[in-house]
Amino acid sequence: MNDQQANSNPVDDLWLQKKLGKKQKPDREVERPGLMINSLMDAFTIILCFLMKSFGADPVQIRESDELTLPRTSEDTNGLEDAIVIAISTKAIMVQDNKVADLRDGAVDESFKRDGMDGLLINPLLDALKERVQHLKMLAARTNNPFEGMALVVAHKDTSFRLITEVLYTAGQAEFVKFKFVAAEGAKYNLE
Amino acid sequence: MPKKRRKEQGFEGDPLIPIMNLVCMLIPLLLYGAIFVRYMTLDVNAPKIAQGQPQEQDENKSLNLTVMITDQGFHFKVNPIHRLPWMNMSTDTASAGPDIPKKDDDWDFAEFNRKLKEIKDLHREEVNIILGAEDDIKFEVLIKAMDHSRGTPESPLFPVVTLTRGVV
Repeated sequence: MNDQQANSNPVDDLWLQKKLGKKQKPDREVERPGLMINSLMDAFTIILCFLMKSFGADPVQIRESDELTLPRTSEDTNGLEDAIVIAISTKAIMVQDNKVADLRDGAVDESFKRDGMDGLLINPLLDALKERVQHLKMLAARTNNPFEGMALVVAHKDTSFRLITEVLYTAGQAEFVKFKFVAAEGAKYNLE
Repeated sequence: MPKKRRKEQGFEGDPLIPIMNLVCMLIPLLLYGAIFVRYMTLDVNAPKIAQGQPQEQDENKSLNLTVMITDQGFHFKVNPIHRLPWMNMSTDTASAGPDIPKKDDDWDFAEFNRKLKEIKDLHREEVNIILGAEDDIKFEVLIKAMDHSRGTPESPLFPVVTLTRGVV
């Protein structure tokens, strides 16, 4: 040990440190750099506010998919209103996101209809809508507001006119009187 | 002195990390739920369930503009006293040729719009239109027809749409 200490000289130590790329650090504790995330936090806060605004802006949440692709419209004044949503996808009819009837080749099975294949009234849809109407009427009575009977029809762009008519007819039987078709903004026509 | 500085840095930086985690989780969640497409509504009156029989219009002097969309094109019907020369007005829509036939295998909406303008010029106060279609006509075509029959805010045509069941 003493021999080793005796053999090492300061020049060798310096050469070894240089070779290893290390610098002699001072004895005092190394300063740890703080996280510079304030500006990142600002950006995130702005994004968060924007997303939260877009999340809660519409009274009705509609999510398009392959099974529910909405047609495009040139209408640009009437936004969504709070109402009962009847959605018609390629696979099912839904009331407020609850499936009420399956569709086969874009049509309701005749077993679901009151008058068979040629009938217009869809029984499970009528039951679901009547239940909703009852609930809405109860709410309207408690808040002293009139029951408006408005329904939003959110249908896939390839839905047949026949099915649309069946749904509207059934909703009419359940005391709905105002209907609004929902379409996505973006159609451009050359109307002179 | 160095000790004091380190303490201050810890106070600023470290408590932000859990908040950052929360924000980083919230952003994908909100992005998933965010809607970037604006949805619009088109008012429509409840369908008139009239199967096969044309309405009695002769005694009434109102226009009663009805447009049927078929696989062949557009068929116009009005109260006979307001009939225009180009209107076929056959009682059997299916066998009669359309007033506006399809063009390039698609409905000629430009011509449809022109004809509606022609009718509107003769009946300035009229705002109602009855739209009907064959059973297999797609919803997209109906919306397009509604868009064209509504016109523009500067020159509205027939913005009050009532649906009718089937081809009359």
